[in-house]
Amino acid sequence: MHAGTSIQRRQGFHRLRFGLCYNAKSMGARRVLFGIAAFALVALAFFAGYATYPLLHEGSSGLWAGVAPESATDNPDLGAYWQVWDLLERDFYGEQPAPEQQTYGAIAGMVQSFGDPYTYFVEPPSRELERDELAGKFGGIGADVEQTERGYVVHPLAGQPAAQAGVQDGDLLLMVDDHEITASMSSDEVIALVRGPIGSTVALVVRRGGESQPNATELTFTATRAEIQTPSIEWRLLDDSPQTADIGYMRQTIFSERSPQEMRQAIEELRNAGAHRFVWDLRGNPGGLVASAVEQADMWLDSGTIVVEEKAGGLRKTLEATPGVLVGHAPLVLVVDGGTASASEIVAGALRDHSRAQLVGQKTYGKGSVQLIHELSDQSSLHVTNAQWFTPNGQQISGKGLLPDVMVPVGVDALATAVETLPAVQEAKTR
Amino acid sequence: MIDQPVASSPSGVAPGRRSSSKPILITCLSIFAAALLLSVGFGIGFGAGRLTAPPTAARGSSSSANDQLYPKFDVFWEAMNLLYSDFYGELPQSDAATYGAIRGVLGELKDPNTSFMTPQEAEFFRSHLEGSFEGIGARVEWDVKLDTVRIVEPFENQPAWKAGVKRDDLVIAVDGESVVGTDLTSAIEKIRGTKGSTVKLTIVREGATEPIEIDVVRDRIEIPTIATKTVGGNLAYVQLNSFNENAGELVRQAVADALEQNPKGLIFDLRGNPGGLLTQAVEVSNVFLQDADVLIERFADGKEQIYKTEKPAVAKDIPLVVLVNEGSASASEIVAGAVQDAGRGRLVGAKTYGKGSVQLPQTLNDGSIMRVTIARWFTPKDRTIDGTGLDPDEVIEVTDEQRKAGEDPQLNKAIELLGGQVEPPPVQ
Repeated sequence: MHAGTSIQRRQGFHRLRFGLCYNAKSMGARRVLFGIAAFALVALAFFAGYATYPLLHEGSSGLWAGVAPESATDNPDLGAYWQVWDLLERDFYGEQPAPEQQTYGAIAGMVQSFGDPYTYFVEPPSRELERDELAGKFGGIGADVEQTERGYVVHPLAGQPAAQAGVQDGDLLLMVDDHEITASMSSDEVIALVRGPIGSTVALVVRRGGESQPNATELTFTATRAEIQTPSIEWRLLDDSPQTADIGYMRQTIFSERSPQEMRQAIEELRNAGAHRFVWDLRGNPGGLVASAVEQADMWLDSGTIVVEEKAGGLRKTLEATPGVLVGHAPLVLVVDGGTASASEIVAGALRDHSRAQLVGQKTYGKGSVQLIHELSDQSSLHVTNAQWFTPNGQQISGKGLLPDVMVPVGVDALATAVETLPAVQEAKTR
Repeated sequence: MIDQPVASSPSGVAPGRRSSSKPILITCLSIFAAALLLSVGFGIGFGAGRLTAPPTAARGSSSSANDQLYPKFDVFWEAMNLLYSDFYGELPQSDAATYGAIRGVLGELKDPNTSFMTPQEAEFFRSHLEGSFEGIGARVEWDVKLDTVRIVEPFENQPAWKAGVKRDDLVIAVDGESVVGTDLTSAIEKIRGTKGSTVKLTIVREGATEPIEIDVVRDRIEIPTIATKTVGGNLAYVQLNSFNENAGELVRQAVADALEQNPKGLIFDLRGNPGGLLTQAVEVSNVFLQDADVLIERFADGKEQIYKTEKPAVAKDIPLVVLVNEGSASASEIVAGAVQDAGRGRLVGAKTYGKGSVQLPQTLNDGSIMRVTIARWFTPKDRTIDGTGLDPDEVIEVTDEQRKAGEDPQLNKAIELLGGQVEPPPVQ
């Protein structure tokens, strides 16, 4: 937390979190993830559902082959903790939190003692949304919810399950299945209740009309959850002017599971529309899945190192580009800024070190550590900083960030500069 | 020694506590700690030997054995094992993780008065109980909502006050280092320092758009427990700054001495007094009240204890005004509430702090100190002041201008009510 003007209590789940993460999976396989962020986009949305991949708790076995887990004798014995627990149980005057809430508090406090902002604990409702965010899709009812003083107000999207079931804009949400919805609940909790497996049903009780109005009625609707997608990449041809009509522009907000496939589709459509040059906008992209970042970087590289990871003890793993590129040598510029972090920085570092792309914009965030996301047995999750990474040239970017090749002052349109920076395309055209 | 052992009084206490003869402290740690650490001489009954023994021995950390006692705790072991096997970076000291877990649980209680000190913090606390203190001369507390230090009261004419630090200022950084999200003890450690040195406080103040930086030159802070003087011609004035273990005796003696001058009235000043020992609140009330109830204490299990005066009063008839303000908390509010309910005197000043809970400090096996809110207290007429404070009979606010000019309209009102002569403001 900066010693700035804003003082806020830290929440259990941090919406804007930059992190490189691995997901701890069953079967010993680990999914590589980047940190969670861009959550603000869904914060008020009911787009809810299930992640496509089950994330199961794996226990405490070692991570990479050859690395033994640390001895458990280092673990705290918690003697004082039990005494405190007993004292509270016996003497405390006031409302005792639910047992699981006490446990969550204890975990969060213990995790905080590690002194690493990227090592943190996420309680179950937020965890569900985190998982959906990284999957890029979920089972939802297709409605936004808005937190108001009276409670949560629903804004269904036309043609989506909520609207089809009969929910109308402005309905006040009272119950979701058996759960009462109150104004004091967090939006994460409400959203998590609404989301569920694709094809399952959810009962919604709403009040229609003002509270004071005598004709206000309570209505019950049953909606069938459908797959709601949250695209991570938008793309278009910059054809506002003839000079730039051969530039394909892609803006990516997170590295989700679907991102590589989205990029393949973007490149194909843009090339079919006449794109010979590309701008890949990573401004404000806080990261996401490591695997997606590596796969996407690989689309532009024929060979060489994409990223090197180092774990405690110095064990290193090098992720290499595979032969073949999607777009030949089409010129590429990456647009970056101070919000470009983590997985985005892996991409930017790799493409820059291989002189595959120029970076335009501002210095990037500088997040060079990797987290594992462990899903615990009760659906909460634990993010643990597990490694740091280096660019192909061996640069560690934590706290430093990547300096762009072309600096653009804050407040100046970096996209325009990016377009100017892109080399001309005669070469591409003559081939 | 006039500490009233708990064993002789409360009727509704859990066995482990009833059998021990230890004092109950009543105050907020936050207020208390700051008073101790930032200023001098709030001698408090916080010596290690006087705290109760912990109720149980430490347990092993085998999860299966604790499952029934501590339901829903499995996930803690999962998290801990994962952290210790996977974490890249320096592992915390093993007890740091335990203390982190404790603070985490306490955070769930939403009770700022239930608090925890590690052995190091407890030692720091104890070592500063005696001797001289050098600091900025302000009482601070931890603002739980904003997770930072709040100034409760800059003591008049002390360094913070002189530098322009105000009540309710939020300190977000000390010497450029953020204190947000840390804890009170470590923040106080940063604020304190040797006489003559300068500390830079970064302050967020309501109404100011930008944080303010204030340099405070530290000084030796002297605040005696009790002060007496004659005011308004022929009125006795007694000021009590904390309810330490001698407070009852000190007030009794001071009032007895003052009465030998045959004053027309008595002013008892509890402004800025953050409280202290509950037993001493009863003793101090007993100076003014006889055969009276002082407070009702109610415990979590529904049992209650009525505290009564047990000795003759030394000042049971003389016209009395008790001065209070926003800094009068806890034990101060007990005395003021008892006086008000008995119709013994009038309260003059500003609405009080509003702390109606009682904490019991206990030393754990490893030397940590845990303070648990164990009860709430109510005035003899069964009023609660928690969160609301006591309303004075005569509300008199002090403006910034008056404060700067050294005027004290609250004291003047007290003098006026007792038929004394209001003195002109002192020349600065």
